[in-house]
Amino acid sequence: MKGGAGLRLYALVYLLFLYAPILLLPVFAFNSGTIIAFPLKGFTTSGSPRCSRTHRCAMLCSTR
Amino acid sequence: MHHKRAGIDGGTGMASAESQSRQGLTLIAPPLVYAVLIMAAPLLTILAYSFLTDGYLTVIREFTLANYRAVWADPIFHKIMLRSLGVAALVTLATVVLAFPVAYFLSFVVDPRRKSMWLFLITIPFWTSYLIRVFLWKVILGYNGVVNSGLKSLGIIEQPLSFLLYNVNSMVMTLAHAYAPFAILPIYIALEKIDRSLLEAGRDLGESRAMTFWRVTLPLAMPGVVAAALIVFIPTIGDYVTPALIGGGKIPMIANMIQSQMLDQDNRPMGSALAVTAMLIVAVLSLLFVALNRRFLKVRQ
Repeated sequence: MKGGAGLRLYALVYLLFLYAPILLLPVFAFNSGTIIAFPLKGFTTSGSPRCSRTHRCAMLCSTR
Repeated sequence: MHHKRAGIDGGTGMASAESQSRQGLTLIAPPLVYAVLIMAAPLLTILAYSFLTDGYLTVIREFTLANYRAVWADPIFHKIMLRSLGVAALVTLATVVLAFPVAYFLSFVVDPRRKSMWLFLITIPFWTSYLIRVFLWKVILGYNGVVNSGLKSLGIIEQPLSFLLYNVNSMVMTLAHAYAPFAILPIYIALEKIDRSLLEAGRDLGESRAMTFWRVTLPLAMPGVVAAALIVFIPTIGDYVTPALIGGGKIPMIANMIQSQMLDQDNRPMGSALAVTAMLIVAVLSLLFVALNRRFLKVRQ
């Protein structure tokens, strides 16, 4: 079908638009900085100290 | 089948039809009661509150129309309601116009065996919370965001661009992203229902491809387009998160105004009157929109 290639390209660009925010999630999940912004600080698999104390405590309290 | 039975044994047929409809009613009664309670109870509570008087920290149980008079006379309400309608109209336009070619591609170009995979791909980004997706747009468009830091590292700009976030355009973009599948799916379904032989007939009778689309495909797809427009327009008017995060709280929409009345100013009757008024405006506009498109919505025989 003529025009199929153009539509396919458009659909792929649209998919990229749909996925753009989702693709960033893992990037910031492993970032060691406390602010969600660029430039990235470094790679980490543990939460930042601030996060681990107050936030986790609040979550824990809310489960009781 | 009914008619045949009624023709043979007259009176008893009528009776059995009656008992059948009674049986049907008893069958749907429990979910109907449940739905009415779930839907109507909160609405009626809001409606009842909107006629009461606020008496600082309490609600005085006295019938009044003062809340509605205050809402209609309030220039801030006019401004914010018009803004909400404008933003929702822009979002609807952007979402439907951007989604239509995708739905068309899904229905007419994609190999039937691959269709479910494409539908799947379109819905995957919406598996995560709405709030997180809205917040991630802030990360993309923000002062130190993806776009700004990317352009800066490429040497295209010296200073971060400040017009990306905290304006109506960014709100429209975020909402157009958030409501994308709600526009794609109804249009896709409407396109799938189109009898392909009608398009062939259009071509055989000498219409160009573009004219066939304009005179056959688009009118037949209109029920889907109308449904998509309503499904996008109605919730975006009442969107609360996007104006708060992407608008930076500086461009409130009607939901933010209701929230501020209900919680910050603790004036529940006024907040309820705002909510009911906004709901009425949206209902009237939606009915008007459907009425304007009624010639496309007639059921084909």
